[in-house]
Amino acid sequence: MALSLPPGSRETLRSLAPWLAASLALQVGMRVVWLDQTRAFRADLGRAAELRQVVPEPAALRAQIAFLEHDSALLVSRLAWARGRAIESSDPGAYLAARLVPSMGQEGWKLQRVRAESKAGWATLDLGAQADFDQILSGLRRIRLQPTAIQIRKFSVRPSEHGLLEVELQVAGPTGTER
Amino acid sequence: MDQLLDLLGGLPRVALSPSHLLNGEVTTPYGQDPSPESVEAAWRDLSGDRILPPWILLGRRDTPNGTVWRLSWCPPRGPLPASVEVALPEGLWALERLTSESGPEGWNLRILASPLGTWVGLWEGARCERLHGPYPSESEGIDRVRAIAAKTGVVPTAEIRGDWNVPSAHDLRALASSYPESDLLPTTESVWRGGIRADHASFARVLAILAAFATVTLGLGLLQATAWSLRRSQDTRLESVQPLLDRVASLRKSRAILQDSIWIRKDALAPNSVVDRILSGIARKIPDGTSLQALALERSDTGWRVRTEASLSDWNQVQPLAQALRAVPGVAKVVIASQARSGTGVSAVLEMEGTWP
Repeated sequence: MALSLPPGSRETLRSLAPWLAASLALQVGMRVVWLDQTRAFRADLGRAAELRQVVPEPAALRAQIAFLEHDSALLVSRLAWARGRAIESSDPGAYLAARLVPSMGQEGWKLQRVRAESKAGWATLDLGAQADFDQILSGLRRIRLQPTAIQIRKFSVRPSEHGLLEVELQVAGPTGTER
Repeated sequence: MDQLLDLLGGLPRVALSPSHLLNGEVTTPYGQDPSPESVEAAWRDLSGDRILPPWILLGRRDTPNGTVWRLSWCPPRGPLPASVEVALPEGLWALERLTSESGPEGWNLRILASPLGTWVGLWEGARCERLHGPYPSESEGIDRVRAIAAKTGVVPTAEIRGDWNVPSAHDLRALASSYPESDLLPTTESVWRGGIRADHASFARVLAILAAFATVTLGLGLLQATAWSLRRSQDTRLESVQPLLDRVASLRKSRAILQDSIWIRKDALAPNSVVDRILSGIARKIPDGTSLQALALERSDTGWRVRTEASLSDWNQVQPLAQALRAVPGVAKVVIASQARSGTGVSAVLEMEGTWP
């Protein structure tokens, strides 16, 4: 069936058709298809470059894992040691007194006053005693050699009667609970 | 490929077609080209009311009566090719080939052997007088043209043979452009075929544009596929090391927890106070004649601090005592806070600072 067109319109159509097609192709290409392709292309390239830089090599990761495992093992043992040195007891003050008071007595300290308490993660023991200088030194050495962590916060000596020295001592040990 | 380019360029297709060659002449006023009316009038004189066929202008000769144009009418012989927009008589190409040959002055025969047969023309110098053919054989053609020439009292003195070649599409288009009156197709048919050809050219151009669009899209698609492949390979690499990365993250997390736990218990890690060593160190450095009356030690932020009161026999022993105490291990600073006479001796208060050994 022949297509009937007004005179001259056929020539116009055949002249314009390539231009219309080119214009349409350019519009569709540059605004939709090629734009999307270019975006996807650039996004993929960017992602690939980023991953190339960010993702480490397996050998480096294995070395890092080995280091971390070794370091963690050291930390675990250090934590276990710290836990072992902290006072783990429901009444840390009494525990600290039970550990030190008999020892001081064995060293010849004449205890006059003992007060123990637990506060803010610390077990504190206040001692008042009489002893000679050598007994004081051996008592302090015994405190230093305790397996639990003990700090001497205050220590004072002054002359007392019968040639002895009067000792005031405050020691504290961490209880391992939140401070 | 050439045909496709010709189509995209909108160039017409031109072909040679068999035709008769009916020689004649037209006289025009000096210097004027023959008009279609004069050619048609000459044709009427020759053949009556028959439709004017296309013609080929062979050559011209200026005479006292005007310019005499030699021409050949070319009625088509057989069906015209269907797939062309311009059909030229085969004799036109023979005329082109023979005209391109250089010849002697005077009358000469020009002979061209072609696949169609032998073309024989009568030339006077470089001017074509007649063209006949194609003849089945060269001798027949030569004899007949010599006979025709002899009737007008002309005796060719030379025979020149031309070289035939197959005309290219470019040659044929140039020929069609130079001899528009030689188109064997009727005008209406030629216009109609030209329209169809223009439609096809337009369609081909649209297809070419779509092909260019598809090519660019395909090229970008290839780049896109390449980039996707690169990214995919990196993703694969990431996936391959993901367990290791997870393991590293897990170890770091557990290490952070351990470090926090250790930080909470950092006091448990500190060594026990070594007050006994500080005390014995101080005791060893006390000079003879000097005694400490009282001593108080307390922890400071950086270590320990001691305040002690010493009894000395005279003032001169105060500085040596301070100097001796500075030699105690761990002692960083010794300050004499006060000194005063006490009975027969001197009482001095000293303050010491130091770090734990």
